[in-house]
Amino acid sequence: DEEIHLLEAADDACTSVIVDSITCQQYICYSSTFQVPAFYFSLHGSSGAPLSLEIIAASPLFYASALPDSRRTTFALETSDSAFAMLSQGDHPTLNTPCWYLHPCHTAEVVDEIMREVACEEDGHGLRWLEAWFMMLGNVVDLRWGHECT
Amino acid sequence: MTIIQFQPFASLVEPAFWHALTNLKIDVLKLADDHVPLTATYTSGRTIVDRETGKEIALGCNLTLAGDAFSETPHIPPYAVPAHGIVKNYNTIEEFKAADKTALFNEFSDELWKSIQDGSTDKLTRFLLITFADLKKYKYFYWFAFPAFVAKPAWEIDGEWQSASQVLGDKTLVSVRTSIHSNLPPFFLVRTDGSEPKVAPVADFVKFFDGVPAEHRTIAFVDPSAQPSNPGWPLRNLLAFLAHRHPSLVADGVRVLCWRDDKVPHDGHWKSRFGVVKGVANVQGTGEKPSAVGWEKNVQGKLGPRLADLAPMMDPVRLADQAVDLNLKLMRWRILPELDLDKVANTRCLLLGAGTLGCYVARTLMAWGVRTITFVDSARVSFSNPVRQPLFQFEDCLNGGKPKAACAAENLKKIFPGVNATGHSLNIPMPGHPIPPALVEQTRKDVATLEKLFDEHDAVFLLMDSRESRWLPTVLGAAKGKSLTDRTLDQMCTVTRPGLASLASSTAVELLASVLQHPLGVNAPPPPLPTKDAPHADPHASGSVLGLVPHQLRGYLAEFRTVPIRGAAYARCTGCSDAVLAAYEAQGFDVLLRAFNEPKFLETLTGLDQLYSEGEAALESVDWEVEDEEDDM
Repeated sequence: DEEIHLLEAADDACTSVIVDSITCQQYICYSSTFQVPAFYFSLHGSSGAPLSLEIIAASPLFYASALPDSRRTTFALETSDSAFAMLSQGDHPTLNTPCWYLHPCHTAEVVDEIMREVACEEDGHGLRWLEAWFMMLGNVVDLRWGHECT
Repeated sequence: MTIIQFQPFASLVEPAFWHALTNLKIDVLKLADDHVPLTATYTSGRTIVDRETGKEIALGCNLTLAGDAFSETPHIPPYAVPAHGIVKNYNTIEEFKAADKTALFNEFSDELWKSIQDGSTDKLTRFLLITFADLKKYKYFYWFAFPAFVAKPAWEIDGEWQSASQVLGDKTLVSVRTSIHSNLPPFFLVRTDGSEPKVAPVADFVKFFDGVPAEHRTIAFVDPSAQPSNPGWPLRNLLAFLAHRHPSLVADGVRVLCWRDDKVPHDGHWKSRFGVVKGVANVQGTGEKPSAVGWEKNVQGKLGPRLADLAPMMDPVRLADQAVDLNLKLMRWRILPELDLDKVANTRCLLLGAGTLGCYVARTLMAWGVRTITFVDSARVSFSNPVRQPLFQFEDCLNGGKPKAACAAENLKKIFPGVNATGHSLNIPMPGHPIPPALVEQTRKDVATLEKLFDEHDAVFLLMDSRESRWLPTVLGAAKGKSLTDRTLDQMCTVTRPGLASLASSTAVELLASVLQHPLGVNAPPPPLPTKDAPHADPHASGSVLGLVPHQLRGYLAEFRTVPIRGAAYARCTGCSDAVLAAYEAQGFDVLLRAFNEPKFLETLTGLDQLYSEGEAALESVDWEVEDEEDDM
């Protein structure tokens, strides 16, 4: 490659600590087709380049135990309630930016199953449903990251 | 005292910025390389607690460029401050590399110095960005510069950096936060000589600090660094400003508040830092512009440009590639993690016949992710083809019809550009169909091509419309040990029920997939023969994650039934018996030519002629006959 001749003198007053990071934008959108909330996200490096599926799967966004690992062979026999199986690519419904999302087609099923275990009054139903949805999502996505980074 | 090492800005570009730059270039700039103003933002430094170790980790000192950077009214996120800059886009990589970066940088820092001399702090965080956008490959070369004036001698910290609450107290910090949080200023002043701390813009320095004792004068800035002992880059130029405009402050030692708290911490643990910075004011105050540094190092830590490769997100071919790949991955994750998708994708498939079966087989192979698909067919697309052969369209029939093999390959690429599809127009010579002398040379070439194709592929599908044309490929396949899938619709194939072709083809491809998943591959044993107690073979016991690996399948469409059948290789088979293979290996094309020209040659070679004379019934059981009531698959 070409040589970059020294553009500027060495600078003692500058640290050499380099912190590289991945940026994750997370959204919760309403899916009108399935009439449930859906989790959308985008992950990119500091240059703005999108990350590959492998890197996304290995990122701290997901709990490792929720993901099928190609080196593991027992996953196939586990329960099929992992929402991760539904990872899809698509455009954000209102921003139209490229995103990944957890497909909502089984959401109602899974949340309803959780709701059956939960007794609640009529009034609080909507809120409890959402809590159950977050519980389901929280099994796959590490939701603690979003909370801490403010 | 130790020299202060400032934490430099680390650029963070959002994907939408590249889209915006592309649009700008296409719609506005075109080939102009003017300086275009843009806005970036930064926040105070953030930390994260590492889940495993419990340690606090400092995040980067980021300057973020979002999709609305070119807007006149960009959105400034909460707790962020804007930084203004300019971008200069070059039209070729050569110009980008050859640009006089030093001159650009100097021009920029001259401007910055002038604004300091004019008493303004507005430009202290100005940045420069140079870019080259390769719009064909969706690659963006870029290089940021964050000019900062170098202090000679360097700024030093008197003692250590401490927690701001230790020095200023919680109450002061709460009060400061209240004053600034609604309209966050990048730089501000704090005086603590009254009952309540007060905050003011740097421009009000003289009035604000008039009569205020040194120990109550503090200068502050929103600090994007999260390192405990390294203040962020903006402080450098702020200090340069103060040294030039308010040298007396510098002489006493500058009390600096590195503001890093968006909210009042619930645990009393403030992130903001405090330190007394010592430097020599006189040298700075001469009015001579100090030297400046600030080109951003690349990811390897060297002075050089960076590259954003957005092809995976913007190149439609890559997008198609990824989508197909994702589909397959999802299938594997949901159903069978042990599925070896690469094995299937890397199997090079040769399709002899680009008709009904060929088209369906090709599409199903593509759905499996197979990347190399080659067609061989000597015919041209005819008007009856498109309805049954899904790779052809009406236009392909016009003007005598396009050659089928090449046309199928082309159309396959239209469906998925990432497929490596080719077509060969050649005739497969058949035994008992003599070759006219004038065509022997051509036939020799065709056979050589066919042999080469067999060598270059891993699986061969026999999808021709006649039984005799099966002979040569069978010999070649057996001789070269290829995975041979033999699925033909005997004789009048266009008169069978339409659904049969796709059923047969899909089954064939799934059979191949199952074979490939078996550790023994082509040599996988067939399912055990049905018994009274076990009328159906157990797919889990086959050794292939996809289930049974039958050697042959026979279908009965009227009954909607497919049956695995088992037939041992026949010692006198005209296609694969040792006598034939030995002759082929020894004499090559010459023996083939005799087979084409002399109707009885093969039978004599294999000893079949004797068998014929012994009884036809035995022959019936080995040869795949079409039966009237059933549709053979």
